[in-house]
Amino acid sequence: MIKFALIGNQNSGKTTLFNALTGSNAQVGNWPGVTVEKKEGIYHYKNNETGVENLKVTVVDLPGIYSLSPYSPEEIVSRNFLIDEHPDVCINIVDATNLERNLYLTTQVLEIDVPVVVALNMIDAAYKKGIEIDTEKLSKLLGVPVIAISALRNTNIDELMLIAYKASLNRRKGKSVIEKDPSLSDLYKKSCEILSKQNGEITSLSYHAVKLLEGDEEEVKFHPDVEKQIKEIREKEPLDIFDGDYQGKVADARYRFITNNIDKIIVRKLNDKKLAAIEYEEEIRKERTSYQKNLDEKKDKLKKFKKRIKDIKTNKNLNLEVKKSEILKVKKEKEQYLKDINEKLKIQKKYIWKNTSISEKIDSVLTSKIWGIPIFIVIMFLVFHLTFGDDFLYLGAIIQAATGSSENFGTIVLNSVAGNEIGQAWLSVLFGSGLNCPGTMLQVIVENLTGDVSGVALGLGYAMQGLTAEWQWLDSLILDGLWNGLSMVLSFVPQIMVLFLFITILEDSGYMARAAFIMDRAFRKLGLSGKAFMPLIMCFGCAVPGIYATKALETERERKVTIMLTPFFSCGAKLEIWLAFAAVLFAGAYGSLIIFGIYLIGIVVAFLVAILLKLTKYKPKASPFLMELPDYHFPRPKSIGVHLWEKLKHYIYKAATIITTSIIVIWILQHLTFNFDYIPDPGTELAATSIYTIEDSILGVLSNYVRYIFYPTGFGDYVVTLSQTGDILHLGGGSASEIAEGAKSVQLGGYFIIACFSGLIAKENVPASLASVSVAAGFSSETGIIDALALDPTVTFSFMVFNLLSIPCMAAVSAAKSELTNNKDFIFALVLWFLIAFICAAFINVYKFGLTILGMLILILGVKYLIKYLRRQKTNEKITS
Amino acid sequence: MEITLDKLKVNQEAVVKKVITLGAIRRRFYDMGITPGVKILFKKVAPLGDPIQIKLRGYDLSLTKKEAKEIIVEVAE
Repeated sequence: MIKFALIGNQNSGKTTLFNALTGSNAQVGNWPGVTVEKKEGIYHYKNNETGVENLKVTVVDLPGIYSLSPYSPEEIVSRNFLIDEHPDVCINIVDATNLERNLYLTTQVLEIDVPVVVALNMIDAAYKKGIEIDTEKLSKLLGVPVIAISALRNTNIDELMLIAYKASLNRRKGKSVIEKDPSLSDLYKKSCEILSKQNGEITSLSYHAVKLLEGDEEEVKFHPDVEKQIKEIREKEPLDIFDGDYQGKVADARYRFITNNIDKIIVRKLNDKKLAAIEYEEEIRKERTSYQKNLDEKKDKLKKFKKRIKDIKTNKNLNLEVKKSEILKVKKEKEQYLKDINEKLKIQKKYIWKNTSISEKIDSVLTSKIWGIPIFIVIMFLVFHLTFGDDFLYLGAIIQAATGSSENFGTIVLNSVAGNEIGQAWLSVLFGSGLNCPGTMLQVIVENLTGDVSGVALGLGYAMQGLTAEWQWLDSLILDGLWNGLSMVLSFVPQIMVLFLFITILEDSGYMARAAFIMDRAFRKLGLSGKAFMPLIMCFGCAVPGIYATKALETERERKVTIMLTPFFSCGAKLEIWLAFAAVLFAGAYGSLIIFGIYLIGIVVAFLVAILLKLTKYKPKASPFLMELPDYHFPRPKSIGVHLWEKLKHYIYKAATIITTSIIVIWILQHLTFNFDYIPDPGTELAATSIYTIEDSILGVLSNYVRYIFYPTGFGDYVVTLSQTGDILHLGGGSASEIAEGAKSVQLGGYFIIACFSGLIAKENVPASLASVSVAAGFSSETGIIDALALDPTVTFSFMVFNLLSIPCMAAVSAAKSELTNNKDFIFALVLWFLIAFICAAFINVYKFGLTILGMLILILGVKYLIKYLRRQKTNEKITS
Repeated sequence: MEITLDKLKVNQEAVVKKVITLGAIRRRFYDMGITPGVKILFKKVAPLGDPIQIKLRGYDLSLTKKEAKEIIVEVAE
């Protein structure tokens, strides 16, 4: 099939064009938003306009890049695609509002032997800015077809594809703008000559020639002998400001080519008001500088007045009368000065404000020295509050405090329908601790649709009751396993979508770039850049979108480290674990303090791990923070809609595949013995006659072995004594006299391991599984195991911390796997998460700490020396090579 | 007067003279349009004191002070 490649700068509207072209045919191969890997879709030509019946072409969306230099993964992907995969046409998207920088990439693309079509995107926005572009002249200058389009408004899209098709029929030889550059043309021609003499006919000769001229590392590897000859020629050239740096010379030549020609291409409409503003830019700048100067002068002058008054006051040669009159004089002078200068400043300020673009006005507030950080915090808080909150703007709490009521109005409303289960379920869409926030409302709606009160669940339950005893396993699998598992996953989708909606709005409007700008300095301390902030904050909601959001990060290493930190930010699902234990620890006291402490531990550990990773090969590369700050614009509903729809599709796809499969696998492991005998759930008819309990299941047996590994954490070996009726007597094994009375000692370690493992599916499983096995384990109530663990707060805490820090749920793990791309990094991340969780849990458990501290020390020292050793080897390698 | 880019004052304009650093970062500077002879306007400093925001070739760019130290500019006044 014919293949078209899309290439262009970031923020040039490339992905919008891709979506407009391929519509629903786009393969979901990649988390949408930022294209890091290339994405493919199919475009259909209408009405056989090409002359070929039912023609379809593959459109490949390449990552947004500023240059074809081989320094970032995005650039390498794009560059290799254009050169090695020979697309039939390369469509270069150029932001018409910012021609100068965008055409830089174009000058590089033109050097490759591929038909090129330049699509001038956002032509409507450029027009509004007072910029008109002579496409014919631009086409002549570049030697390739140029067409003005608007991807967002679907203008000229089909025309673009028709031109691209026509271009694909002919071959095109690459051409470089360097050829005509006065200072480089001779060298370029020599480079071409030597290259073709050595290699005969090669494709993209002009591209390779320029790369050799630059001394590009990748290129030199392939043609070391040619590079030598060119180097000799280069060394004979006289030195200039570039000190023989030919990469700089070439880049400079490209930009010179653009700036020398740009005035011929851009036709400015002189009567346009906005253009007038551009013309006055210099004047306004001077006005701004003068304003700043006046401000400084005012400060200075006021200081001088103060000093003068002080001098008079302390002057011993003057009597009181003279002093008074002198001070009065100075004060009058000061008043007059203030009046004058303030008037002047006011006029200047007004003038500057009038002539500042809206985007800059917004920016002057959002990133201002005083307001920048407070506004940032408020925005972050609002995003979270509107997504996860159950008390909209704290109205419930405020009204409760104002009226002195003992309960908030949300609870009052809900209690008013107590007893009516379905009514209460639907009322709790609107009311929580007050009025619900939008995200929570949607979440409760979906929970109701899929939960116990929904018709589907009730119907399923009713249908299952008709099953005969030998078919009851179906009930267990479908209702308890799949239905409960999937509905829980789905009930989180609305909140994820709402969170994404806000994030997309922030991204689309241009604020996200500013958030990175504001936070950069704080994150540098951790070896990360400001861009890592957003993904990490998203993880408090759910690690899955957080991990996918790391795609926006500059360097691969920074991306990796950020992904490795994601599980430490306690997500919404883990909150259920904290709630379950906080309710029983210390008889329910200090609940919110315990939960707050858990969140804090997560953040502190993330900081420490970030610092730890700085010592390893994962040390984030000090990535240059060269980031474009695009103009603010109103979020575009259409592009936000497309993003959200793609995300939703992706999430449901994941739920239907990975999550469903994993639930079935866990269910099977929990319900079969090693002899493949079925283990019925406790409480069912079959359970009464079955000789097997959950301990005999494959998962049960395995976890019983695994529990020994968890000995240092305290919960791997946890024995309580139960009375004959299943009530908890005390910690530890029972005495002989107790045993004689029918009491029994129960080893709980295995159950805790099952809980931890089932948490790998979804973190809500941790308290849920402990509850579901309690009765089977011999307890009288389903909260038995949780109560028993709470007898020892230290071990409980260790158990909580382990689950906080350890390997996240399946969905997050698979997200991490697809984003880490490299299997080695993925395995390292899993080991890291497990070890950090294990070490921290063991650290908390002081009882066993004495026994394990030695082991830990050996482990830490071992790792440290291993790193040192590996580093030394690496440097040795470098030296020898 | 020649100074490094990070020493510019808010609203001051300057012309790039030279990029000192080598390797990938230098290449990045060039790719983003910071080449000798280009006019740069120093727009602002982030609330925490770093990074900075400049305007060149018709668009806004942010970079850290450490990176800005690698760029020598000439101030007109």
